[in-house]
Amino acid sequence: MTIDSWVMLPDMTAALAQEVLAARPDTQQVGASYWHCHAALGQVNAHATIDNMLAAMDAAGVDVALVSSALAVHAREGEQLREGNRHVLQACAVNRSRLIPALGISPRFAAESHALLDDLAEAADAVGPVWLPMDLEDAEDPCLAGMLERVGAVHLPVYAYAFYDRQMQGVLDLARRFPDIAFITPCGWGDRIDEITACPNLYVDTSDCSACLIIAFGRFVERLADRMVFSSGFPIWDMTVIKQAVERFVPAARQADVLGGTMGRLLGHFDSRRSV
Amino acid sequence: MIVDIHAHIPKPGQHICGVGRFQGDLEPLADVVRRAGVDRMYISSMVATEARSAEELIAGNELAERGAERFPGLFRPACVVDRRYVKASREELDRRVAEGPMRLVGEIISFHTQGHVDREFLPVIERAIDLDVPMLLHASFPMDVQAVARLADLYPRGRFILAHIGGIRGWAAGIEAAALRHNMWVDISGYTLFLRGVVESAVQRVSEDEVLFGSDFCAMDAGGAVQRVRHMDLNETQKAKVFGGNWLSMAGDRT
Repeated sequence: MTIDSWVMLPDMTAALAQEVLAARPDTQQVGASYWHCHAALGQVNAHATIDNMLAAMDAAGVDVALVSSALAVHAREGEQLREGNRHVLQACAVNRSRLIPALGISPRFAAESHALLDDLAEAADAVGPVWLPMDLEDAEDPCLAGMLERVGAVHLPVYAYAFYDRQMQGVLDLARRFPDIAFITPCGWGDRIDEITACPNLYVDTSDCSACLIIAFGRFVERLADRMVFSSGFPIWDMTVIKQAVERFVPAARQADVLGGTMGRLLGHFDSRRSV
Repeated sequence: MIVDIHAHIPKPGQHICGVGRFQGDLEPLADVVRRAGVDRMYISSMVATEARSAEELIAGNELAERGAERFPGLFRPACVVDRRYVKASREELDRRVAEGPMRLVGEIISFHTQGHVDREFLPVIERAIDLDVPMLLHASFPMDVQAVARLADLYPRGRFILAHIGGIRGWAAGIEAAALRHNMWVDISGYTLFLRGVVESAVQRVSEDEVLFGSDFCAMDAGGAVQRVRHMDLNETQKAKVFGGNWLSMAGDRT
């Protein structure tokens, strides 16, 4: 089974995108610039209907997608977090066998996040990784610690996006503090590969076109293929192009795991309710 | 025809996914490039683009020239210049462009300070313009875009290619700058190529005639870059222009 571990609803509004960008005038917020692009241009919004998402999965040969919300991971208000997660649940209801919700939490919005974690504890249907905010500022936040303890209790992996070194440090710190939780982050440029390798509960994904960043990707394949999961970041990134890159560069013996086996185990290993 | 105007030869010893450890022989690179579907690729050496001395700049350009000689139908060498090595840059233009086979200057990584091109480097730019060769200038930030735009304004006869459409952080500024200037093109190589909507926006807002294909190989996957354009929300005429038509028009008969 091929699982795309990161497919995103481009439900971030143009106004929110501007707000997020304005908050980081040093242009550190590269992730938001992607969403600004798409919220402002409207091209991805038009493209990424659920039908188109499923069609892209068919074209790429992807069986299951773990769907998250751009609005939820960039939320500046609790209601945006709730709304984004609602969007995901509604979208995945269209095709429950192929679209699995990956819901967001945030230490800034404790009430909304704990309500979601209550629901996840009782969830009867399959759920995907829990997403942390894309611009997570403080990995030491005690609110976050409480939330992660609850995530750990339901044995779900956690998506902790990191593009810059500062963000990567936060992800590494979290992974070390919560060794029983599987954290997932993009491969990136490989500057911290030694530390990632030394952190057995830290997984890397192929999104952000990491699989096409061939000057670095080879080192990840060589050292971390057993902790690598395929994800495209569709609709921002091309699902077929990323998958084909994985098929070109990951040794044949490792492909089944990278393309779905590893994520399937992360999601389904401890809880039969969440078998994917 | 697919012409990749933005690509690099790795440094010796560098490991490139899908190629292996580069030992100086361009044959494995040529094999990957052909399989990617690229018909012609302009290559500079990363020894030159990341030069730590004038000697490395020269050595890197030599690697590109010698390497391309072995694959005349596939590889075309590009001449790197650098604001830190003005004298060597001038001499390289004379040696490799005026008297040599190179018809593209770039990728120029080091050409400005805080958005302003160093005065001492302007004669190098002027020499390239006198030699009537386009210049490919790196951009990641809006400040890089600003520097390229300033050059384009200063030298209306010059042909300036903004690499990566301005880059991850500068693509929006890059599109706006190039849209306003007849002598500014954009190349789509790098991260921005893989971001849905950015290239399409450049085609729409700059011009479908001023967008050039590049992969940023060997940093990025050439095959993925070609596939990305094939999947884009562009019509077949636009794809053909981006893939090679625009470069052939802009660069003239000498290619």
